[in-house]
Amino acid sequence: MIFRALGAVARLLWAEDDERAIRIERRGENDINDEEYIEDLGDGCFSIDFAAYDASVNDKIYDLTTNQAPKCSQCKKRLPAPEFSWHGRLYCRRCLLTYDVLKSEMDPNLKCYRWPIAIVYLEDGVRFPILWNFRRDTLEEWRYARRHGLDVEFYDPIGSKIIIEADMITRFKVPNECYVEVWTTSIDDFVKKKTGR
Amino acid sequence: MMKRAEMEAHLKSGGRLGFFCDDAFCEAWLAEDGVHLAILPKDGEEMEFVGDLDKLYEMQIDLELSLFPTADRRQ
Ligand SMILES: [Zn+2]
Repeated sequence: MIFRALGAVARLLWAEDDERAIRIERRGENDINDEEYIEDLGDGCFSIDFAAYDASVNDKIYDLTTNQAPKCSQCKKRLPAPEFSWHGRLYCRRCLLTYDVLKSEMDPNLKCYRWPIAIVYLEDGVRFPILWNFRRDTLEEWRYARRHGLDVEFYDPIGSKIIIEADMITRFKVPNECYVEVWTTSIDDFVKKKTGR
Repeated sequence: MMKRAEMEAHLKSGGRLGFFCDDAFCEAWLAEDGVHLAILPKDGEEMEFVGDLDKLYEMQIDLELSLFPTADRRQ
């Protein structure tokens, strides 16, 4: 995770058109060094494999009771446990030095994007990080769901879906310089995965 | 850990960089089309890839590799 303080002025925004105004906090300089954020986000490193994400997200629902070992990005197996992390993707010992993996990870077309993280606060005190404005406008999505008494969908920093009653949310926090790093797959790899060739 | 500028200077002066990745010996050098990387697994065929300095540098960091100058094994 990349934290960088760029010196933006701390400011507080209020969602104007909402009857029960939800607070959107944005902070600037050193926001991420605040103990509160460190407590919220931990010092772990998040990353997303978009290809794996695309393939898996349709039927995936966030489940806190599942505590399974991570999968190898290449063979999709949990055993042997992936020991290597390369551009945010996990690889097991058997897959790491294979032609496809090396060709893909050494491709100069591979680029890093940074996606902002926000923190959702629930009325019972629970809070969790989400990808901010991932695929849809997070705030619009929440407002719509709240008006219509629906559940709202978010995505956690590894791309898993989180479904929650819109009414339970009391606050979003959006640290200015808190990101997940997202590496693209190489162009060849992307085409191959999309076309199955 | 080798700095990016050190890697660049060494490769641009015609030097090669070797390292062990898992149980494979690997070697990188600079050619006209980019940074070449040869992987010689303990069992298996040699593979060669063309990347760039950034990809070699990221590989070093992500896979926690120790790079060292090597004599050109092709000579
Ligand atoms: Zn694997």
